[in-house]
Amino acid sequence: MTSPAATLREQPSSIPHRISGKERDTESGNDYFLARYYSSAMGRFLSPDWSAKQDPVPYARLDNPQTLNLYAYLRNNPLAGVDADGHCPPGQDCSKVQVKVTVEQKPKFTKNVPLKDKDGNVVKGPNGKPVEKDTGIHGKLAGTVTVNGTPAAGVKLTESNAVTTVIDGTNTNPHVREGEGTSPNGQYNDDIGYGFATSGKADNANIIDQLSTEKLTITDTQTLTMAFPSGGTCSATSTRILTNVGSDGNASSHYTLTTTQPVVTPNQ
Amino acid sequence: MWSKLLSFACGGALLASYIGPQSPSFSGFKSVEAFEVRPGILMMPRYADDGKVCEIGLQKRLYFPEKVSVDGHLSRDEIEQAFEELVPVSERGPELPGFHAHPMSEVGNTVTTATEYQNVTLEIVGKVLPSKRHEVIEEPVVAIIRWKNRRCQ
Repeated sequence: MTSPAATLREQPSSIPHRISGKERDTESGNDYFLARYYSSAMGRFLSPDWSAKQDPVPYARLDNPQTLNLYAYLRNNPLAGVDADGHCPPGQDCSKVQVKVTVEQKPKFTKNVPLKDKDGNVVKGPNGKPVEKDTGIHGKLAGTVTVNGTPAAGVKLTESNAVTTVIDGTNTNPHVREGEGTSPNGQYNDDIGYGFATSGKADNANIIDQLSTEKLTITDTQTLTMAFPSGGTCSATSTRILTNVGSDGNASSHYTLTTTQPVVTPNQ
Repeated sequence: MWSKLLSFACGGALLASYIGPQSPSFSGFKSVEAFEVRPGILMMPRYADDGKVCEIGLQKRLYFPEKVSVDGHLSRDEIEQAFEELVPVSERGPELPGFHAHPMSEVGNTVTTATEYQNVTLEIVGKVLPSKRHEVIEEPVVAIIRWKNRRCQ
């Protein structure tokens, strides 16, 4: 199997500085990383990492086995950052990362919410009709990523939502949706909702009636991947449930939105 | 004798160099079938056991040999044109009546709107862009066409 670090390999050229920004020795083809030489042909450092401070395994972290490999470039994850000096940077310690999610808005019925494009135009259906306006049930969640209790600035967030929608016992088209964004202050928002495009008052009444009498449960298992500016990535998984099925097993117009608190783990 | 062998070997090497560059082996990777159905729009089909198309994904093509685009936004007009061409009315059947034919869902930062036809479902998946008012701002990026009576492999 090819080492991920091998992606740093390049065709020989006379340019002495490589992608890594380090000088390449034209005779040996190795890159000079101050503390050590890196072999682009082998995709690894030529000598083990070392520390001025006595340490059996320098820069190792017990929560990330990749840190035990003293020859790897950036824990075999070259896209995680930049190696400035030939010593593996420690990256983000995921045990210090916390993600807290709260229900910001309890589920409520909304009518005629216009769906617009980014230019502000109301979206139309495939035949130019009907105008897409959404009537349905919606709730909102708010999350905060903190490191040692301080909001994580500049963290890059990628969401993967594995969604199942069960209507009266039928599981309709389970799917996974992914998206990404950068959060300036470690905060993010998520919507969860279900509805229909409406054509007017009669539709609205029927939609709300249907959403009050059919048993609807949307389960979203979200994996949030957090890439920190200092290098290193952590993941957090939580499960959110929007449902109108009560403890008696019956449907009603009363919807609840609940979430488990995300469990943070290091990305290997 | 040796000079003849040497010239033969050199000739062979020259001939080999004209055959063209060696392709690396991609056998370890999963292959994905894609067709450029309109300039810059990729269609990726999936098939049922009988070889008929059961699902189509449409998305923007970002890499071209002569340029690179970083805009993955697929407009609804582009989707509609490709849909009309790939699944004409005779294939998709009439649009089903009533609000049931237009379910919409929002999860995380994605919004999905669907239109149900007799034989297929057209699903448009987009990003939810930030908005402050009572509205949803979407940016479609993928369209999925599913045939209702065909199970994919």
